[in-house]
Amino acid sequence: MESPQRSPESKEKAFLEAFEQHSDALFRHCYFKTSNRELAKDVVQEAFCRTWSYIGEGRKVENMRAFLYRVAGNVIIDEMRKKKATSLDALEEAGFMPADDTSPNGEQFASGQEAVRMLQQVEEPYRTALALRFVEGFSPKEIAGMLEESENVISVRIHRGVKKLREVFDGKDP
Amino acid sequence: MNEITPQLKKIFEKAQGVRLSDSEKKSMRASLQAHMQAEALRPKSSIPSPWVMGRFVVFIHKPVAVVLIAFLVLSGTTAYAAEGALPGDALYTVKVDVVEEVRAALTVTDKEKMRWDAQRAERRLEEAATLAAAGRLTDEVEIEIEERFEKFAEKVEVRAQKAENSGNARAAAIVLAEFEGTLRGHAQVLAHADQDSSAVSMQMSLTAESDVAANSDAASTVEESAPDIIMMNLDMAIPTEEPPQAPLPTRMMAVGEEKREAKEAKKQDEDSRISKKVKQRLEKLERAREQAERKAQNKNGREKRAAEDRIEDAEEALERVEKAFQKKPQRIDVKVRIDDARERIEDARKSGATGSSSEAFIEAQAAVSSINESSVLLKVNGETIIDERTKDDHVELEVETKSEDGRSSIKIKSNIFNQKDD
Repeated sequence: MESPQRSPESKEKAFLEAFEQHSDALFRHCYFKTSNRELAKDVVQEAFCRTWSYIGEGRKVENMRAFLYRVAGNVIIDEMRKKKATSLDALEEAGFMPADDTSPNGEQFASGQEAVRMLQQVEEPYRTALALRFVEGFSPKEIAGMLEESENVISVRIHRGVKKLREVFDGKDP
Repeated sequence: MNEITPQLKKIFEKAQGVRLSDSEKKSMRASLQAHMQAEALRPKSSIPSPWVMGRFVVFIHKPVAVVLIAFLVLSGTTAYAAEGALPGDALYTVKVDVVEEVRAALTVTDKEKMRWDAQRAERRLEEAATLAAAGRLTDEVEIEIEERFEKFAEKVEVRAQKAENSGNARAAAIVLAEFEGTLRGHAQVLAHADQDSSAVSMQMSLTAESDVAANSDAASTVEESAPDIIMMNLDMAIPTEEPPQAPLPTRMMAVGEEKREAKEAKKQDEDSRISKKVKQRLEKLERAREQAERKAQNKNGREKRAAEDRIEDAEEALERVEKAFQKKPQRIDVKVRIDDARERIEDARKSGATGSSSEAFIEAQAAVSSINESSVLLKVNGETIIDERTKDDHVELEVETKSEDGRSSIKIKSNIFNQKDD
């Protein structure tokens, strides 16, 4: 994705394009993981900033999308460490905040919330694997690269995730 | 993955509706662009986190600064930013611990090293004078300056001792005499700074004492002589505005000896820390210089040449200081010293002609010492003079930016008249 011949201006332009392209999916990923809209936003912002700093040092990013997910994962871990005091309950509570009415996508957001609620009942690490595979459409190989796990592990997680989600779905809506 | 039912597929499709609102995205993009711009200004480091990077900026810039300063020094330009720094200024440590150290590293011979240390000691005194004039000489700053002064003054003496032991007593004697003259000048400058207006007259009697000593043909034998001579000189010089070439009485009657001693004792208490240190140092220097001169005498054969060189040094220095003096002919204190130096040079020549080279050398030494003293006194009032010191030293351009020149001498004059009216 990065080539050393590029001028700083074209580098910036390419990175901002990457932001347009990946920010929603990255946000979703973070939201599923943290169940907190505000926190997810902060994580996305931070992930893009860190990635830009990395590029700014002249280092190459082969797969921008995978790299962003990996950085976001690290940011979430950092955030969790920082907010150790915050209870899981509090986080979950924050995750079920009403839709942002000022958002032009408010309706869409609200309709997605039912689905998100179900997804959130699938525990980690299966939830993330499931979301990356079926919401974002990554291949198991790609997910393995992002999460720094073997492809086999990811396949198992996806399989178990589907099973768990079906249990949730069947339990709610028989 | 054939377990994916249409219902599950629907869940995933709906989950895709989770996204950033347009306004959220916009503000996030703006923040990111701001970050990118800030990042562009930062130097590159191996640490990816921008917060950690911030700290490294300092370490990247420091060597650059050192190289830049070294370059400036090597290029021969001594008029640069840090040079004007005073204690308490941000650049002061750069001046003393970097710029001056670099110059110290560039000195080669014993003589150069001694001279540079002497100059560094003198610089501290100049800083003290500048700060005192600006009313910025606090106790803490004074202690700092005093410590640095002592450090370099001590270095001069240690180096001189070493030079003597390694058979280079001549060089030691030369530098010690120069340093002594310089310190004598600064002792008076500091005394000015110390005294309040009521003590002005006392200072002048102190000055008078050294004036007489300087003016006398045999200075070493005149210990306690007329303290009021300078007042007489001024009486003559100021109202009539006589040119500096006017003949000055070389000897006046000694009056009020006891009164002077009492004043002297009181004066000691009023001395600032630095003043005391300078006076103590002067006593030590005098002994060290005499010792070096004695040792140098034993080196027969090269004596004649050494005396001739020293006379030449003195003549060159005299020429320079006379030029500077022409701009301030009202400075009687300087005039007395210049006349003394001129006489001593003549005496040195006479002695040299009659074959007593060691006497010639010592006379020339005393002349250089007086000239250095004059040079310091002329610099005090903020006059810009080119002080080249000696021909083989660095050429140094010193620009002092202080309050209007001539002010303090005018103040002294008026005080003297006041005192006389009493």
